[in-house]
Amino acid sequence: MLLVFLCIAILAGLLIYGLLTYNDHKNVRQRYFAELKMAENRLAAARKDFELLDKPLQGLISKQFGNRMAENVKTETISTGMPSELLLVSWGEPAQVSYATDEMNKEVWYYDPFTTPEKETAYRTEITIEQNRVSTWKDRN
Amino acid sequence: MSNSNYYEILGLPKHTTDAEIKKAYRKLSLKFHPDKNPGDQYFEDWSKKINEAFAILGNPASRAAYDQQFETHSFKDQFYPRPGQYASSATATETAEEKAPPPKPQPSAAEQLVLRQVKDMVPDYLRLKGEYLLAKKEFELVKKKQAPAIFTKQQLLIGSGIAILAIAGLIYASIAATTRAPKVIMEPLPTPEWKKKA
Repeated sequence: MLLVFLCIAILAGLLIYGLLTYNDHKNVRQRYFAELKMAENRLAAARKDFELLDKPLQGLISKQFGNRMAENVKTETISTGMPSELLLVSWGEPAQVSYATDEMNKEVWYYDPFTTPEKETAYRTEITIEQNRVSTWKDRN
Repeated sequence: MSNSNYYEILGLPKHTTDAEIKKAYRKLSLKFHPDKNPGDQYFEDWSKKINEAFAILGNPASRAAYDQQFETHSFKDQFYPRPGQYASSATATETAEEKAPPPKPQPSAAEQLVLRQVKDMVPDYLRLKGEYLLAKKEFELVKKKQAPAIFTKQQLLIGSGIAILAIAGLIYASIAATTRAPKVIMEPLPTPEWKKKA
């Protein structure tokens, strides 16, 4: 008789524990899906805003400089002769710029800063701009 | 005559027709007319350059003379001039002005306009691109977390183990109640002594 009561008590305990856990986790899951939905909405809004400017800009570049240049800008690929304005569109603002006031209007744009073991700031990529166009670039290992 | 490449200014190839020159001039004049952007030096400068280019290229005689000079100086590598290239190809009849260093690259007016438009769009473009990439990263992070399961694997294992044991206990109890219970033998009670005497 005692065994019967014990077994019934265990099963009832398990059932109650299961119901409580289910309720608790259901709320956690609801919160997760709400967060996911919000992130999805934010992404959709940001994409819409970005495309509003990206499409005409790509069209402008494609029309004037050709599809290849537009594709390079989009895929963040630089090429010799690329105007500095398109480099800005493709790679964004450089972390540092140094100017050489000579006839060639030479500038060096530095990207991807990092701290060296000697606690100094260095840059992974240096792009030389001559007469507002990309002339050479150098990658640091 | 200046060292400007008038074909580049009008955005035309060298072997273009007079009609195309006129068409390009009209189009660019409308685009760069100073009245459209009063007080803007950039538009004024370009308007002057376009007029100057058309004054030369619009007239067949002056165009022929310009083309002759164009041949001599070979503007084809104007965007990436090599040192000494112009000096070596120059004719003996060059004036002091013509012997001067090669002119700085002059992108065509249309190209300049596009680059200017692009430059104006860059700050907003970069801001929106940054916001978009951030939103994308956030979304991927949330997605990566995955929906939490209602029961963990461990909970399910322990719970089902206990339930199986409890059910087994109940079955055992029910079997034991039917098979192992002590048998009760119903025997008549012995006759009491007082009844026997009677």
